[in-house]
Amino acid sequence: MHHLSAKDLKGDQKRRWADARKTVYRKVLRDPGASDARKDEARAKLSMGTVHGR
Amino acid sequence: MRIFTDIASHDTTGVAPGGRIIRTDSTPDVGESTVVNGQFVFPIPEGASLEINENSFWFPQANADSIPSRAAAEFLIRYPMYDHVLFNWYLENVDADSFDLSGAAPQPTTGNTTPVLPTSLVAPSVPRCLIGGPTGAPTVGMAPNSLAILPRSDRRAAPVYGSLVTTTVDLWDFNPCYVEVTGAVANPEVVTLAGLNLTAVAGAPGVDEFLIGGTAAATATNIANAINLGTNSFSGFVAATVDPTVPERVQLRPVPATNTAVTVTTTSSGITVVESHPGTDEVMLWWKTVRHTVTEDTVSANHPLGANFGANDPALKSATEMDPDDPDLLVYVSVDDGISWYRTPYLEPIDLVNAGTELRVAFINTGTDRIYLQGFCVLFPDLLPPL
Repeated sequence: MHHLSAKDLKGDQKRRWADARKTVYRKVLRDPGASDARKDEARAKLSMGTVHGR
Repeated sequence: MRIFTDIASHDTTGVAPGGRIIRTDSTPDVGESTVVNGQFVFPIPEGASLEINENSFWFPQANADSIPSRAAAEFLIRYPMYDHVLFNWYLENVDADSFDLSGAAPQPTTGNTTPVLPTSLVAPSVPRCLIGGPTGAPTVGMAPNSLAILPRSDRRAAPVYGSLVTTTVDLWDFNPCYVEVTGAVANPEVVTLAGLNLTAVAGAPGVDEFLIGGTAAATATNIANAINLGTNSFSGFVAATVDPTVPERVQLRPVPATNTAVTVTTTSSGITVVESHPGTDEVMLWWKTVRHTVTEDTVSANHPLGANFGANDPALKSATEMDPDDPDLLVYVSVDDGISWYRTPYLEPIDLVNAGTELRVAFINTGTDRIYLQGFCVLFPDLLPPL
């Protein structure tokens, strides 16, 4: 089985992945109905995305 | 989108650049048939668009610019909540190695599936599939688009389903947890695993102790041996392996595979700890399956006007599009090496309840026709680090 990680993405692919990730999880942070646990998870994912994606 | 490639020019030993691309086309509707004589079809996952030109190539697949890698990358970008994608389009001999054909291959049963396997068919003694020879074996039969899950067999007292099961994928590799000896280690510095101390000593080690070696690599070996020693406190929840390429590094794998949250700390400045939580507790799968039909090669030799008249129809091999959620096809995922399986609907995230590091995927055919698997991708996220 072949494997590809978000960390392996380069150039334009990396930028698009990071932008898409921000879009997904910022929606969660802005959602007044989202639970604290979901928002904590979104913050952690965004943090991981920053490390991996930028 | 799909890509048609000349199968005669495609060397499945992986010789670059792979088969000659003939054309691209949009994905047809379910039930529609396409003649595929002399070609194979490469399906691109939904939402992952690619530009194909004269420089596009298949091999080596590990090259980030190859079509399979680009398709997988675009699929990952389409679903950015995931960190990893595993993919297999069954294009070369090494791709056949990804499937477990042994009698020991675990398979879904009514006793280990969630929800319960919705069929009275039982698991065969070995996965029932049509597959080419893997690497190291005669490569007879290996060709893209020829991987099939056999139909059910009713000719037994207990009818069995057709199945295709992957080998175990060790997810630890993608988010590794390890300790590495990077400098001098002193007595009595400790490495703490799940709250239990493993102490460095200069003399003969006792219980939960390891000997400081003459080199970093020797110390690492001693740490691994001490962790694995049954009379110490650690082998029940972690297994240690000296990294084959970095001998100063001790890989720490959870025992069992679902025990993914082992904490690791150290008081030694000569030991570096990378405390990740390997494995995953969520997956999402994409797959592409079709059914094949082959018509007869017919010619009417007795036409009254001569041999050049009358019917003369070649055998046509056609691929018929399947609904990915076809009721004959059941797809299951396990992250504990096949002990428990979770049914996975097409392109829907599945919570696996318990995280694990040992991934397998099983495709089950309960129908009466062969189902051909053109490719599949597994998306999964890293487990979050402790908050």
